[in-house]
Amino acid sequence: MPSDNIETLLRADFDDLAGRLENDRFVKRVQFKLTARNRARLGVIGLAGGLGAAFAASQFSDLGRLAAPYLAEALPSYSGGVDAATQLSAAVVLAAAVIVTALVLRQDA
Amino acid sequence: MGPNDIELMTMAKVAQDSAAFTELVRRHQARLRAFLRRLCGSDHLADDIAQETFIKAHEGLASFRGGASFRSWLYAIAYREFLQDRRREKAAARLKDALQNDAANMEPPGGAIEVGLSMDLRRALLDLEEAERAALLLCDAAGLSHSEASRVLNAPLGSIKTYIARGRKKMREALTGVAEQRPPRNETTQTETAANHKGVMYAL
Repeated sequence: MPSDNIETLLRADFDDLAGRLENDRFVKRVQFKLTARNRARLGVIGLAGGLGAAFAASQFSDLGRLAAPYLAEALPSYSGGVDAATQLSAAVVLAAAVIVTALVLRQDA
Repeated sequence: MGPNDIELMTMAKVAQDSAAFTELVRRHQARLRAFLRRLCGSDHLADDIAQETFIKAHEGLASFRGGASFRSWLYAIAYREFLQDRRREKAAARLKDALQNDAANMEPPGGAIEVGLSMDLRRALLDLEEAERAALLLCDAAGLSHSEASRVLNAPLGSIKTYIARGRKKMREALTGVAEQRPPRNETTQTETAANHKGVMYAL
């Protein structure tokens, strides 16, 4: 009764089982789990970026009003006056915030 | 020929290459899960542990030392996870339920002789002590060397050899007993049972 027959039985059973497990969805599930944390992190960064930009935008009208005389001088052909200059400066700073957030997200992905 | 395990590990570790790690998962998952399924006796629990093992491996890429093979490092994580899970009281209850469910839902994967053998093997394996079962599965089934098994189980080489010898002896006795004691179930399955009996006796 050679002991390596146990080995043969075990090996055959094991190979058969492993063969059946080769092509199921396990790899996909592990991949999903592994990326879940990263996805959550990106979500948090995106949310924080969005909130930060929104908060900053709420301050721009005051800043814009302060900068308006200079902007009006710099943009004489701009007929919008103070409000237009405020909107323009707010748009520029918002665009900068969006670009910075996008760069951070891109680096993290 | 693609990159070997160590090269993939390096790519996953240094370049944060998730595709390299996925390839490692693809290469090793089936045999790791087969090992855990036979070790636990429960398919669901084994797959949970396997999933946790790969997540731990991914998190611990930086702690991997090139001296050991990726396979033995991975199996060592899996065995630790298995032991931890066993220690948890909740997990013990879950294992009991899962075992009962699995025993009730055991489906024949192939022919009659193979089915009988596989189920007898599983029962005989589950009757072994944990270390014996793990050593036997690692060396006899999964094809790891004794020294690799020693690293995985964190046990001296001599103990591994003892576990394997003792495990084989117990398995041989259990399977011989099964073959000798199995009664014919009914007339229609007598031929199948006799073939099964003969299969076990022949294999031993």
